[in-house]
Amino acid sequence: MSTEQELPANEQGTISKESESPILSLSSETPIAEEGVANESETTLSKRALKRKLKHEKWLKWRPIKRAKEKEKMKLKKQYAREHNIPQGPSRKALKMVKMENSPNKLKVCIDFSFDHLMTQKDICKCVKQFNRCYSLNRRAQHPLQFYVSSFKDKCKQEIERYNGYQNWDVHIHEEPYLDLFKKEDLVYLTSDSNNVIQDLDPSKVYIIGGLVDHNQHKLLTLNKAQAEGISHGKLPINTYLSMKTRQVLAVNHVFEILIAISSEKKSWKDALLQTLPERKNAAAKNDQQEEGSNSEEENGDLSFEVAVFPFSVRIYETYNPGSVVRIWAGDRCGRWEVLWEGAPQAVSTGSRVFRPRIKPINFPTKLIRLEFDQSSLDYYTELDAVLLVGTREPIPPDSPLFMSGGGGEFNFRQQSGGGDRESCKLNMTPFHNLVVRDLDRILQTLEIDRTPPSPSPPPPPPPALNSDVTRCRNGSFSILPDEVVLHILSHLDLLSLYRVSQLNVHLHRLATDPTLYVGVSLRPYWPRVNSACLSVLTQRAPLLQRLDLGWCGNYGTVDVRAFTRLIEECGKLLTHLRLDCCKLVDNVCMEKIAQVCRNLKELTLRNCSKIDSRGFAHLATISTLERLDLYRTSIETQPLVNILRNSPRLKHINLGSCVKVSSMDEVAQALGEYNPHLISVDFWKTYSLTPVGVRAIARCTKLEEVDFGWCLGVSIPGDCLSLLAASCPGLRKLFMVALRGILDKDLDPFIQNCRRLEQVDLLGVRSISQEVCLRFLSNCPHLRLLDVSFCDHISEVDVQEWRLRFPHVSIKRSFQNENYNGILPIAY
Amino acid sequence: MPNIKLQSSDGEIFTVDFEIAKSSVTIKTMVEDLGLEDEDEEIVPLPNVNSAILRKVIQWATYHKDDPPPPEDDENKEKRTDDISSWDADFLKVDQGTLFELILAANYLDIKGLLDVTCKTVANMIKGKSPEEIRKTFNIKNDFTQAEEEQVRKENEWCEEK
Repeated sequence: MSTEQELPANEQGTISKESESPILSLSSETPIAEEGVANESETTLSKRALKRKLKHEKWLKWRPIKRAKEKEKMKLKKQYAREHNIPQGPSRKALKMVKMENSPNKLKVCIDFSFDHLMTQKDICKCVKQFNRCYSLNRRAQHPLQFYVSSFKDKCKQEIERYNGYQNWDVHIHEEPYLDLFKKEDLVYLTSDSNNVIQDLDPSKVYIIGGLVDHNQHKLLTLNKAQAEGISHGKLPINTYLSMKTRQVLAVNHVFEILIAISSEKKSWKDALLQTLPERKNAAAKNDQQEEGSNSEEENGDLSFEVAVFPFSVRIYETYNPGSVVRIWAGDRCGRWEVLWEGAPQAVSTGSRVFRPRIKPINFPTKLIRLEFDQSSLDYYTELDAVLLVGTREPIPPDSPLFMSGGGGEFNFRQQSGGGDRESCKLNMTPFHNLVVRDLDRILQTLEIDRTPPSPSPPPPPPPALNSDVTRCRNGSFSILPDEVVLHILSHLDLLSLYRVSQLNVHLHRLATDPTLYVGVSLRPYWPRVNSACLSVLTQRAPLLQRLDLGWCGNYGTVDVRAFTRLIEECGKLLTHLRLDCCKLVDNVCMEKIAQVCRNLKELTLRNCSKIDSRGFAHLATISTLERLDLYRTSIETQPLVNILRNSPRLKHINLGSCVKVSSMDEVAQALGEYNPHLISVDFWKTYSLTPVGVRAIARCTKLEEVDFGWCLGVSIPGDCLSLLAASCPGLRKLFMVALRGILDKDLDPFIQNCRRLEQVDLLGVRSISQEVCLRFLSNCPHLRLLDVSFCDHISEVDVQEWRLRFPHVSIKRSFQNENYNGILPIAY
Repeated sequence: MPNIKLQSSDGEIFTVDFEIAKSSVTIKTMVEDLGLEDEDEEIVPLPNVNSAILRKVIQWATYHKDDPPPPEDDENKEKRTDDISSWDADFLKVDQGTLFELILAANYLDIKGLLDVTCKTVANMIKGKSPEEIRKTFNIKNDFTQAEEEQVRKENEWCEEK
């Protein structure tokens, strides 16, 4: 007889022999618990059930062999790690030291088990499993939170009796309801039905999670309970940070995991939510514009603060690849900017740091800070978490000790970096709140102690020595040179120096305003000074203008739209390259003028130009010469974009990252496939409407060398579209798949087989891929120089260390993750 | 023809390896056009370069004889002036008169590498200075009329520190 009844006995037998961990036995029981047809005899089994049973039996047979194999593999891995001094995360012994009572994390969380009567036995079993999972999360957390369980009796208790030793767990288990354990006013019931959005976790409160698995049968249960008992309630700020297509009811362990990520690992809400939410919830970070919200008003790099101060310290909390800040500016919102600090980009070890340069005093209060980055010396993207501006309401004398304390080295802190946000600024102050406050305390403390006198300012540079060999002519030394040679010298000058030479005398004014010196003009380095008058002068000097970069210029009203359109009208006929990134003044009128005048335009970049709408973009469709178009974070919509593509047969490069107003990226991809056969690079970063249909269409662009599908969550389950892409684009050099969690080995193998020229492969957050497929990338793609496997669940630090030894020419990225405890030490609490 | 004789404006004669002298497009063209390749004794006169400067030029050309030909100017690239090699920087630590005469010679002899590096050196002497400092450095006289002065000041208002 082989009924299902026999199975549990069999199974228990095998488990008790080989498995020590309660979690293991738990998972192996799952099939029985879920089938719930234990008493059915063989004859009544359906075909499917029979199949399942056979499969189960087969599995039982193979299990011991598989387990043995796994154990063996684990052993080898550990041995390897020991031999190569690779950190393996906390040992069991180390874990024993981490107790709730010693933990600096005083956040109290309580699971309320008072819903026994509403759950079936099966659901109770699941609920207890979730509790079990929470417990293991808390034990492994760096700083475990204060974990309580209330109303834990009857059925739940019977269920947990099956796990040995739960009485010894480091968790406060109580039979009493939470009302008897805590003060009523400290309680906050977490329920997704609440209207109160929680922004900060308050360690003086007790957050209650309802211990209920009911498949959403009982509507508003927890909210009603909280209201009936007169305790406050709140919901997690899921809506603030993520867009989710499903309901926001989460399992007990998910809520718990989010709370741990925030309280123990000091993560941002966004990172904590993204890391935790199950894929089926379709969670996706809201686009940057929304998420930066109050903190970054204008654009990447511009930070607004609540109160204007005379600053004496700026601290930049860099989490990922620090060292690329080269300039810190303070603005007064009326076009005036002063440099607080500038310096060369620094080669700092990967890791996190707080950058606190010594800043220059300024004579106006500021609440607007702009950061400039130079990422050229970094091989990867910078990520910031917060910027702290410290200052006084009254002006401070420049020799004040305040400025001294602002400088002086840096200290590191450990901070896990979040998803794949590549833009340099990601500003969520909340998670850093504690850190920042601590830091501020420290600054204030140093002020008390550190009254060291300021170092004497360096002596002024000696005046330039007059040359003895000067000629008596009005052009001085230059008088011996023919004009063409003077022009050659002037061609090596930056714009500012060129303007200064034009002030020297009549002759040099004529030379320095020669149109051949104004063929390529970049005003971007001078953005703080650029105003309408500057563009008017340029308009007179640059009739031969071919390349113009106005990036960052003219914001906060410093340049008039008319000054811009006049420049284009007078000097735009020969323009081939026009860069207007982060130019807030550029609007529909400007677009119209550009389309009218610049009939030779090959490159147009409009990153972050948020003032242009569909009417403005419609004009671009009349330019047919475009080869490079950057529309990153603009509000272009599907139809204007398709029209532009149709009229740009020479298009080679296009960036559509974060173009959230494009309702159907598939339609755009189809246009690209149809009209733009010369396409070399395409960036779809964070365009959620791209699906496998669009990817298939893109495969028609057979010259493609770079594709970015980062955060294109519609491609997360790719079907065969990626293999089609790989087969038709053998020249691919760069492939970005950031956060496409559904991608499997089989989706990547076609690239390994067909695209031998691959140089960069970014698989950050592509969770399920195996070590084997990474190894195949490394061994089969001879040109590979960069592989990012951060947040890939099956790739461990051990693997990465081994690969780095075997493939030293490849930079293999894996950002700091939980188990890497040997990294930078956490800040002392 | 391994060597060539060059005569400076003040009559001094320099014997130079032809391969080195060829870095001057002027000399190269002259030799080829006049068919001097086979004659050892012919002297090439360089009436625009004096012996002190010619000596420097030959020194520079000798050091750089194995350099790859300088790249064509790329219009799309921002011109750099911070890429002067340390040897060149030392070589050009000369008084201003010599520097300007070297530029003149490099221009006349059509030696692109030398012309570039000397012009960059002068450009670096201009960069970062105020107009008044530049005038002082190069002894330039201000000959603007008052009206012109005012107009020029207006043109440059935007780029001066407020």
